Formats: sequence, C-alpha cells, structure tokens
Amino acid sequence: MGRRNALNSVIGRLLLVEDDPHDVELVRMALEPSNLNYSMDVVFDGEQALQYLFGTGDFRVEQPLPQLVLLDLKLPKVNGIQVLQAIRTNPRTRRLVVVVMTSSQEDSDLNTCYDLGINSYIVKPLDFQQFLEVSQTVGSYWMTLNKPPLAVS
Amino acid sequence: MPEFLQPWFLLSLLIFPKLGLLWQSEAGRWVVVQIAAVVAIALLSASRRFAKQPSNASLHRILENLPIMLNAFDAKGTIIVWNQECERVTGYSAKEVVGNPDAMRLFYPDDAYREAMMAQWEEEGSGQCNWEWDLTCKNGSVKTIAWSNISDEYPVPGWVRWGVGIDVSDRKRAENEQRKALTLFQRLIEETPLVAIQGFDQNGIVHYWNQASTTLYGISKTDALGKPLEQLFPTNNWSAFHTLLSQTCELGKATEPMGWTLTTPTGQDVNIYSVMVPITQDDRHTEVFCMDVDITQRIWAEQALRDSEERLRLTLNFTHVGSWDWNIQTGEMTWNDNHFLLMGLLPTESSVVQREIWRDRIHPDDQPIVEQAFAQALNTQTDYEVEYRILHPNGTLHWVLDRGHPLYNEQGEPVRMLGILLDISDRKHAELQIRQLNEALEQQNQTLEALVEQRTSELSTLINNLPEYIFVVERDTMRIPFCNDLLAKSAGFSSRTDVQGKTIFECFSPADAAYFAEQNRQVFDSGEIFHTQEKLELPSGTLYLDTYKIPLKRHNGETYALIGTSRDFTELALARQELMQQSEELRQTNQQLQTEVWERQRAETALRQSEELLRQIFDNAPLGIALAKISTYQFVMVNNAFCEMLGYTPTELMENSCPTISHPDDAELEKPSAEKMLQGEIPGYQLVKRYIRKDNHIIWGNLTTRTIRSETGEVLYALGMVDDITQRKHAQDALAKRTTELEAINRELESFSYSVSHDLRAPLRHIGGFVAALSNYLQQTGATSDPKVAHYLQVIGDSSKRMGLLIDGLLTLSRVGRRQIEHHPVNLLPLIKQAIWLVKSAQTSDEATQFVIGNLPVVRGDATLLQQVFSNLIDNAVKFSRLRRPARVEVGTLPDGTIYVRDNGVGFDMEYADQLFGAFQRLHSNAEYEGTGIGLAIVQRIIHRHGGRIWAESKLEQGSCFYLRLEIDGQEECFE
Repeated sequence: MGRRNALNSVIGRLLLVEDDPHDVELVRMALEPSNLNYSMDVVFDGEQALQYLFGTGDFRVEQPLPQLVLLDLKLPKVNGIQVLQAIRTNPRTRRLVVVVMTSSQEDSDLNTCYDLGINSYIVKPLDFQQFLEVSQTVGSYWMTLNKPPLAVS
Repeated sequence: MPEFLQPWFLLSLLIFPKLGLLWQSEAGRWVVVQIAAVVAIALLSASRRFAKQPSNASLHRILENLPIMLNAFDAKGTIIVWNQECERVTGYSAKEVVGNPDAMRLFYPDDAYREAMMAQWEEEGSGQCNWEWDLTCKNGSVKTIAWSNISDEYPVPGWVRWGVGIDVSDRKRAENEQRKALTLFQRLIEETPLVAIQGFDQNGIVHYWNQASTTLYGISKTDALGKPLEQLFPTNNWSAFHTLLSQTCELGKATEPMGWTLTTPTGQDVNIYSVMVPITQDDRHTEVFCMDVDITQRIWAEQALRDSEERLRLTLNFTHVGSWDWNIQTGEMTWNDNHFLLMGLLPTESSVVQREIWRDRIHPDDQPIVEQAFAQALNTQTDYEVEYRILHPNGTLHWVLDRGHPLYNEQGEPVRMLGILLDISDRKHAELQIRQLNEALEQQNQTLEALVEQRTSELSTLINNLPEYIFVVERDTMRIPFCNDLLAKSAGFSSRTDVQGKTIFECFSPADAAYFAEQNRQVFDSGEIFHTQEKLELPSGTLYLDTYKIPLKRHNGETYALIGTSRDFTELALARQELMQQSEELRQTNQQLQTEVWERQRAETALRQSEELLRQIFDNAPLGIALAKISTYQFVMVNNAFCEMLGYTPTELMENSCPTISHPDDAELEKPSAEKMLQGEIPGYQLVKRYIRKDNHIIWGNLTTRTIRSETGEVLYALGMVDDITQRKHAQDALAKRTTELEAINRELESFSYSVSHDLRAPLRHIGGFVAALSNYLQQTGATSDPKVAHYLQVIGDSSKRMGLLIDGLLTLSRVGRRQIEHHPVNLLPLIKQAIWLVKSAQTSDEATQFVIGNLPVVRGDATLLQQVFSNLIDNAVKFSRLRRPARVEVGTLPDGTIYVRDNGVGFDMEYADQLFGAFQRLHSNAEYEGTGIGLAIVQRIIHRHGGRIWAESKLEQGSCFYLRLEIDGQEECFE
C-alpha cells in the first residue's frame, strides 16, 4: 500500500503543447491508464506555452517549471520551433527537457530541432496502439527514469 | 853436583839465546834440535834420578824458562805440557791448553789443515825434524812454527809423545821476501824490452839470452843457448870481442860502454851500445853478461839530421837565399855566401861579419822601417819580416825580403836571431808592372762601363720609347726580369721597375696570366718562335696586339727564357672593325630596303586581296556591322545584315546616326561605356540593347564595339557589331517566366507535402485512435460481441492505417524528388545486410527465406536513399516469394557491374512491365499481396536521381529479377 501511494503521489508535472484537441485527448488516453505519478498541463498554442513557462499573460503567477515539455511543431500563433528557441535562449528554461512529438518527418524539421537542442524527436505513429506505447514510454522515461539537470534559478 | 849442571849443559844454556841464529842454516837447525833434545833428556833423567825426592819446582822452572817451545801429549792425544815459550809465542796460556781436548782445534782452526797435519805427524812418527806448521795464535796472527818429534829418540815416561818447536815466522817472512825480490829481478832482466842481455862464459858460449835479445837479434833463446857467438853471427869478426872478454874476466871490472855494429843472421845491420859486466864467483870471473842497447834508430836520425842540414845549406845556396845568424849579444852576424852576394859583396873566408856592414847597405830611406820591424819583433816576441832596398856598392838598388826568428834564453832575453834574405827585385818589378797593368785595365774598364751604361741607357730609352710592348719571361718562375714602361702601364703599373722581378701571375689578372703562361709554355716547350694576334682586356683597356715570343736559349739549346714584343694595332683593328661594321650596316640597310620593297609589293597585293576579302566578309556576315564616326556617330559604313536587321537601305542608314536607331530607354545604360571608349580608356564594350527598326518594331541586339584609330593613335571611328538576339531574348524571357512559375509550383508542392504530412495524417491518426478507443469502449459494454460491429470497426481501422501508409509513401516519393543527393562511396554490402536483417526480424520461422549474397560493389551515391532502394527491393522479393518452399532471394553483381535482386516468387507478366514502376500501380491485388504500390516508384525515382537505370525481368510463377546500374566507385568491388 505504501509503495503504491508513493507511486501515486504526484511528484512531477508534464506540459503538453498541442493545438489539436483530439490529439490532446489521445495523449490523455495514452497516459491515463498508466500509473504515472505526475500531472499533465496542456496549452494549445505556442504563445500560451511561452506564457506558461515564463509566467506572463494568462499565467501571471509564475509556475514551477515542468519536468517535461511535449511540444508539437505545427502550432498557431507561435510555432514549436520558436517556442523551442525561446526555451533554449532563456537561462531559466535553458535546461528544460523538451521532447518534440509531431507528425512531420521533414529532414529540415528534424535538423532544426536537434540544432536547437531538443532532448528527443518523436514522429507520432499512425497506429493507435503504437501511439499508446510511445506516449507511455516517453512519459515514463523522461518523468521517472531520467535524472534531469538541476533547475537554474 | 847434579848432572844437569855439568859444564856442557851450562854452555848449551849460554848459547841458547843464539839458537835463533843457528837456525839460519840447515845444520844449525839440527844443532838446535839436538841441543834442545839433550837438554830435555838431561832434565828428564834428572827428574827420574830425583824421583824420590824430586825437585819439581826446579824442573818446572827450567822447563818453563826454556827459550824453545816444548809440549807433550798423553796417550789420548791431550796436551799435558805447555811451557812459557809456548805461551809467549801463541798467546794461549798453559791453563787454556793443558788438558783441553780441543786445543789443537784452537791452533789449527782449518779442519783439513789440522787433520792433514795430525795424519802426517802420526805417519812420519818420531825422529822427524823441522815440520813447519802455521799456527793460529790467540790474537789471530799466524805464526810458522818448526816442530821436531823426538819422542822415540828420547822417550819420557808419562809423555807418549813430545816435541820441541821454534817460532820461525820472521825467518819465513824474510825468505819469502828474498825469493820475491829474486823473482822480480829475474823477470826484469828477462823481460826488459830495452836492453838485450846475454850471458857468456869465458869462451863466449851463450848461457843466458833474454827476450829483448831475441827481439833485437832475431835469434830465439833455445837457438842461442849453448852456442858460441861465431855460430850465431857468422858474418861478424869476433876477435875484438874475445879480447875484451878475456880482459874483462881478468880484471873483473865492467867495460866502458861502447858501440858495435852487428849483422844479424837475416843480414840486417844493428847498431848497439854495449856494456860487458863480469860475474864474480869465488873470486873468479868466469862469466860475463853483456847488456846491449839498440841505437840503430838514433844513428839514422843523426845521419838524417846531418843530411837535412846539408841539404838546406845547399838549397839556400842554390836558391840564392841569403841566411844569417845574428848573435844579439855580440852583434856579430854569420852570413852564408848568398848573403854576401845579396849585399853586393864577395864572400870572405870568414863568414862572420859585424851587423853594421849589413845596416850600411840598407837604403837610408828604409833604415827606420827595418829598425822598427826589429824592435817590434823583439818586443812582441814574434817573427821579424820586412821588405827594404839594398844599395850595392856599384850603386844599384835591390829589393829584398828579410825574415828572422828570434831565440830567447831562459830569462826571456833575446840572444840570437836566425833569418833569411831574399832578393825580391823581380817580384817588386812584377808587382809594379801588375799594378800598372791593373790601373790600365781599370781605366779601360771604366771607359767600357761608361760606354755600356751609355748604350744601356740608349737602349733603355729606345725600348721604353718604342710603341711596342717588350718583355722577358723566365722559364722556371714565369718571372719578368725585364720589360719596358709601356708593358708596365698596360698591366696597370706606373713604371717598369714595379713589374721587373715579379711573376706574370703577380702582374696580371689570373685569367690573363693563365693565358700568357700557356703561350709561354708553348714557347719554352717547343723552343720555337711564337706569333699571334690577340685581343686582350687589360687594366689599361682593350688592346689588339701582334705578339712575337722568341725563345732565349743556352749553349746546350735549352730554353731558359723568352723575349716578347707585342705591337699594339688596336687603332688599326678598331678602324677595320668599324669599317666592317659600316659595311655590314650598309649591307643590312640595303637588304632591308630590298625586303621593304618586296614587303610593300606583297603587302599591296595582300591588302588588295584582304580588302576584297574583308569587303565580302563585311557584306555577307550574318552579323550586323557598322562603322560610325566617333565625333558624330554618323554611319560611314554598314553591311547588309545591319540594314536588314533594321529594315533600312544602306543609303538611308548612312544619312542617320547611331542614336536614331537606338532605343532611348537604353541610352543611359550605354552612355558610361561609350564615353570611356571615346576617351580611349577602353578599346570597346559589349552591351545588350534595344534597336528601333524603320517599321518602329523594337529588336534586341547584342552590341560589341571597338574603336578604330588613326596611325597617330587618334580615335576616328567606332566599329559596332550587332547580333540580333530578339528571338533568343524572347525565349529567355519565357524560360525565366516558366522557371519562376515552376519554382512557385514547387514551393506550393513542398507546402502541400508539408501540409499533407501534418494535416492528412492527423485526422487519420485520430480515426485510428478513436476507433481503437471505441472498440475498447464497446468491448466493455459487450457491443463487440456483435460480429458486424467488430467487422466495421476492423474495416475503419484497417482503412485508416492503409491510408496512412499511402500518405507516407507519397511523402517519401515527394521527399526523394526534392532531396539534395549526396555522392559518396557507398559499400552496398552492409546496406543489403541491413535490409535483410530488417526483413528477417519481421518473419516467422516457417516463412524463413534463403538469402544468397554474391559480389557487391562500392558505388557512388546517397547511402540513405540507396538503403531505401534495397530495403524496398528485398522487401518485395521476400513478399512475393513467401509461398515458395524454400523461398530464395539472391543479391549480387553481374560481370558487367549490373546489380541484381532475384527471387523465386510469383513473378509478373512482362506485358505489364511498364506499369511496374508507376506510383500506386499494382500488379497484384491487395488481398493477395498487401502494399501501397508506391515502393517501386520510390526505387525508380532514387535510381534515376543517381543517374542510374533500373529494369525488371520476370515470368509468371517463375520469379522476378530486378537489375540496377549505378556508378561504381573506382570500379572497386567488395567480396564477401
């Protein structure tokens, strides 16, 4: 019991940046059944993502930084590449773990993302079963297995 | 009265001290011993007689005081008696000796000597007298003792043996010395080398002959002894000798020394100086000794001296040398006959004259010199020598040389002077003559020298003023002992004295010196005259020289030096050269003129032809050509093409200028270049510009211009060549437009692809996702138990998947088309292994396909894309052969480099082969073999983009084979 409680207790937060509500739902579906001990916040465009991370706009109160950012590239207003650039240039967020989850298989997108220092690049599988597995794997890997760098104040 | 006191005994005692004297003779010795014995016996008998009442004290005193040595031995040989005399002589006391068994050892420390003595003593026994033994005394001195053993003759009870002895050491020593002296004397006589000694008896028979006699007379001792002198020296008369011998024997006195001459048996005369000495014996003189000294040598010497003096005297007389002997003390002089004659006097009976006679004859002027010479000789104790004149009584003067040697007594005072006088008038005369002759010669010599000097000076002047270079070079050293100033100057020296004595190497540059040395050697080696004309670069300038080098030879023909003359003909040479040069120039000018004439003629012809040719080219060129004046741009010449292009006639154009036909919008463009050309900064320019035809149509022309200048360089005309590029221009514009359009389309396509990838895939994913979700949900509600529901869900899911694959394929195809191809060496083997591994990992064990990999090359291309090609091909091969048992896929290379992928699958009908590589074209139903129909389309596109080729061969049910041609990297192959 104690162990299960410990696992269930929320020890981390994940930020999903995804404009498509269906995809959001699918990600939720993918991550829900697992006994992951973290919570998930969702923003629907790049602008919101930046406000969330830097405590501006709708997110006046500065949030503690999430452990993981799942970032789509094709986003309204401010696209994923721009969000990534902002994260990597700000000293506070410089070391955030960012995993790009996208439908794009374009070479240019891949190279640009790696050049900007993403932690991982995942092409969303068409097959839902695969999608589930991938989402869960990514979640558990980055949220529990990976030892993140110390946040920079 | 005791018996021993009888008178004879007393007498004997008295004479005892004299016993030593008696001992001197044999008989005396015996007497002494006898006396000693008698005394001893007497004593002993007395002792016996008084045995009962012995007077031992008396006896002992007698024995002790007996002045001869007395000792006795007992039976053991031990000494029992040792009297005072024994003690005195030996130094050993009776205490030390009597009863001492080693006493004999003390006296005779040498064992051998002692034992020999003891043995002799034993052997000889009693009655022996005068054994002389050397006894060692206590103080170490050795004394000779004469012992007599008289034990048997005079036995004494209790004394087994006894004896008496006397110290005879002194006598012994005297005897030895006498013997030594005699021996020395005999040897002296025998061996003396100076005196020959012979002994004769009264009859002249030789009985002694020493070594010197043998030497002197050549007769050996053995030959001489026992023979009379007459026999030894048969040729001599011996009567005088015999007379002398008899006299000597009679008188017993030695003769006065006297000389004899003997002729030896070898016939040699020997002069001796002899003394005869009689030997006295028993007052008679029966023997005579002769002592001869050889005086032969001395006699000869005396004779020789006499002869020499005589010879000298004769010589002096003969040579007219006067000799004199001046007794300084008396002032008398002894002269020889010559001296008188030299003085102009007649020799007198007496050769002794007073010194004044001589002095009076000396020329008065010379007398002081003579006296001074004498004084000097005597003062310095040197010889006297002086030359002076003698005045003869008849008034004639004679030169003499007077020489003398003074003699001094023991006090160092001069007593005599011996001298000679020579008449040297002849010599004086000769000297005078010689002097005169010398003077004459000297004078002549001076005259000659002056002449030589003058001639030399003249010659030197001549040589130095000659316009030729003159020099002498020595063979061995290449030294220049002589040259003239001209040569010196040519070598850069100011005067010939600077050059003379130096070698050519010191005077000229190394190159010049080597050149000269070579010439010189030629002369020295050949011994022939050398002649050359040469050009030299000397410090003084460039010289043309006509040089002769003449060998100088010794009598034996050997060349020891050379004399050289070089004539400077530089001016002549230069003049000649100039003349030749002028002549050459003239000839060249002439030739040039000739050439020019020809050239001009040819040029004219060529020009005419060229003009004609140019005219034709100009007229017929497909290019518009026009010539315009630079000042006004007025056309002066236009060709047909130009006219046609612009729609004018030539005449019309000639009336117009460039601006008329140019499009005004391009004027600004052309202006800067045109101005630069006008300024002459650039020779021309190129420009694409518009022209306006006569009919107002606008045409495009590619203009190239060039300026044409006058001979003075002045820009006169502008030549323009215009290519009508209107058509090309239109085409280019169309192309550019098309390209722009295409680029836009392309961008659109890219954008489309991007959209497709995102926008089309997203809904598909959502369909798939939500179908799955739905299916889960329905399972929970049990709705899926209805097979229709399950089937519908399945179809929706499959369809969405399939659509996804189609979109992915399409995107891949599009990406391949757009992708920048990289060209690197790619080893195909790992690519194919990777593809096989991917396929195998997806297969179940019962589907297992056999793979055969043959040779595979390294090709040039894009590894990622080529991986895609082989993955697709192998995927297909496996897919279409999966029902075969065994399924078999081969990959390899044909000998011509064609790569193949072959399977034993279902194959296809070649009739539809052209559809094979079309996108979404499938030859099998999806139900039979799943697929999108885009794989081979991608493969073909990749191969084409590599510049390669792909084709397939197949028969239904007999498998397919796909062939690929790719660029092989360096023709290398990779072998498994």
